[in-house]
Order: sequence, then C-alpha cells, then structure tokens
Amino acid sequence: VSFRLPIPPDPIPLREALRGLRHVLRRGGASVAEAVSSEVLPKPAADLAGAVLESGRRVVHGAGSVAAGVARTVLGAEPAPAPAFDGLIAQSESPAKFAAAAYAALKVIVVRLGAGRAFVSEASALQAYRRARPALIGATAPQAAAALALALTEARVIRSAPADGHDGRGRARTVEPLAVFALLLWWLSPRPEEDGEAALEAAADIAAVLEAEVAEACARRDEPALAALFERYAAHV
Amino acid sequence: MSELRLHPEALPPTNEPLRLAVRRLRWFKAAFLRYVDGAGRELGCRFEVDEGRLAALFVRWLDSMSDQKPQGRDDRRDFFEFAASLMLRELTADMPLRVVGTPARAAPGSAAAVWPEGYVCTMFCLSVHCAAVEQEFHAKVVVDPAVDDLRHWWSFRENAREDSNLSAGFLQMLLGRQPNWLVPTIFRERITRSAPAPE
Repeated sequence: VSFRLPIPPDPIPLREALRGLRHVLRRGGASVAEAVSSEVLPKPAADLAGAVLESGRRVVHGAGSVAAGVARTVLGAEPAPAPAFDGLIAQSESPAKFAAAAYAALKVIVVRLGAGRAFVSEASALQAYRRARPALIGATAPQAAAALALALTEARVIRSAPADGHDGRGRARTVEPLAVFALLLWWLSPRPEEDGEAALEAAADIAAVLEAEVAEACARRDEPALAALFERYAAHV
Repeated sequence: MSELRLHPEALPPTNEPLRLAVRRLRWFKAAFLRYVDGAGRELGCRFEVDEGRLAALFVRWLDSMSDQKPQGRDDRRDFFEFAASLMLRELTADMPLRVVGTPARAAPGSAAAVWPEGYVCTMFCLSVHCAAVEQEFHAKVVVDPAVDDLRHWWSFRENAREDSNLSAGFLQMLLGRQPNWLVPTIFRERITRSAPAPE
C-alpha cells in the first residue's frame, strides 16, 4: 500500500525507528531458532516445536518485510550516490546526504566483514558528521577522514554483538572500528561509480588486513596514525 | 612455451593504465579470480581462492614495493620486473589457491600437472607483467625457455617452501635476469652481487 503523509516528517529518525524494529524482529527470530533446536527434542514434541518455530519465523519475516517496505515507500530510502569527499570537507554537502550514503555503504561493508547482523545507525552517522564538522575545516583529506572515523566510532554508528563479526576462518573480530575505517577508506579512494560494491568490498578487505593497526589507533584515538593509514592505502582500494 | 599462454585479454578491462590498476585491490582481485577461473578451465580442474589471504598478500606486496620504489626514471622498467617478482614471492609465501581435483588436461609431467597452484600464480604474474610492459614501454616480454623445463619448477617449489624470497629470483630468471639469489627481494642489490642458483 502506497500513501503520502500530509506533512513530510524528518525522515532519518523515522527510518531509524523502522530499521530498528526490523533489526529486532530479525535478530529475535534468529535467536529463537538458535536457542531452540527441535532436532534435539524427542517426538512428538519435536514436531510440535518445529511447527511453532516455523510459524514464528513466518511472522517475523512478514513483520520485517512490512517494516522494510514502509521505510522504502513512505520515507524514500533509496540510496543516493555518495557525495565527493572534498564536498564533505568543504561542507558544501548536507549532513543528511553524508548520513544516507554512509548508511548504504556500511550495510555492504558489515556483510563483507562477516557481521551482517550488526545494526547500522544512520542517525548516529548524522550526529557524528555534525560533531566532526568544525574539525574538518582546513584539514587534509586523510586528516578529515581520521576525524570522521573517530566521531563515527564514538557515536556508535555500528552496533553489533561481540559474536557478530568473524573472518573467513571463523575468528572473531571487532567490527566497529574496521567498518568505519573501511567506509572512510572507500570514500577517499578514487573510483568510478560503477565500481561501487567491488570498491566497498576491497576497502573492507584492506581494513580487515590492517585490523591490528586500525583497532589500536581507534582505541587510542590516535588521529595522526589513522590519517597515515588512510594516506597510505586510499589509492589502493 | 608452457601450456597456459599469456592472455592479455584474460585481464579485466580498465580505463586506467595497468600499472595503476594492478595496485588497486578491486582490480587485482578481479584479475586474479578471472585468470584462475580461465586457468582451471584450460587445465581441467577447479581452484578455490582464499580471498582473505589474497587481500593480505596484496597489502604486503604494496608495502614491500613502496619501501623500495626507486626515485630515478632509469630504474623504472627494472622495477616493473622486480614488482612482478615480489608479487610471486607473496603468492607463494601464503598460497591463496587450492586445486580441487586433478588438472586432467595438463600434460602429464608438466609443471601445471606437478604443481598447479604455483604454476598458475607464476603465469598470472607473468601475464600482468607482460601486459603492463607492452602498455608502458611498447615492448614484448620474452619469457626464458626455462619456463618449460620441469627441473626448474621442482627446484622452485622446493626452494619456495624453504624460503619464499627465492620465488622472486625464479621469476626474475624467467624474465631473463641473473637474480641475486642471496637477496632476490632487495631491488638495489639486484645487480651488485650475484650468487649461484640454489640446487
């Protein structure tokens, strides 16, 4: 069902709320399935439990789809092209554009980092950019990226459970600093529009390789160290 | 010449010069996956690629190149060769390929049959290098006939297991150079000293 609200609302908080609802529903459904395995129950309890779980899964899937559909049709959640990084520094781009592009990119990045279940907060990205803006004036691109990376981490733009992130060999990893680093690395990198997803994945892969350095620089809030990493690797995404 | 030809068309298209494209992970990965896929079809087997390892070796390769990049233009072509040999060093140091099945179409007793992973990685490095040299210097790279000599491949495999740095020397040899086998991965040492090839 498609309809228009009479007074256009501020879309970011509403999108955030709907995405939060979808996240909780999906996460809850997955948790129940993980916690209650009908395979270990004796019959006929196993059959009954299986039927109940299947019904629950359908309800959760349906509710999640409704939330996603409302977010798209009512609030216009189509991803816009990411503004150029120079525009972010010069502040000729709106914070809302930054937040929307950051959200779309981070959704791809967290999946690549093995943390597809993490919640990405567009509202936190908006808040982080607004806070970091004064520090961007006169900064070089790598310095601005470092300032934004720390602001995004502090604003908790990614919210994940400790078990969410893992590498290809099943080792746990701390997703938040890596995802944020990958986002800014991608944003800084020279790339044609058509390389969108491949470039995002490459940025995530480089971030994963640099995991120790990135995590340490973020934990110590070491802007120069982060800026040096951006400067060294942005051209290689 | 060995079974896998050096196909420039096997490399993905790019609007950039190859020397730049190859230093971007997205292009490098696409090129490697595409090359490996084609090699698997030609050799009659399948290769699994560990993309995490591929990204890690790519970053190590970048670092080792940027630490040694010469300032003068006179060394530019030499450094192209050297960069290709460092790539092979990184590929053999933490092999991202695993062959699934046997390379049924490879000639029995050939390098591709004996060590398919090492063979494909070597031919990938040579293919990228040949294409880049042709683009930058309008020159054809001549690969040494040693590429078809199985004894060199046995030696390469055994030595690379002991010390992956020797892989760089192997590629330099295939490009017609006399490598410095003591320190084949140090650019400024490439000519000043030489040591006998490892047995």
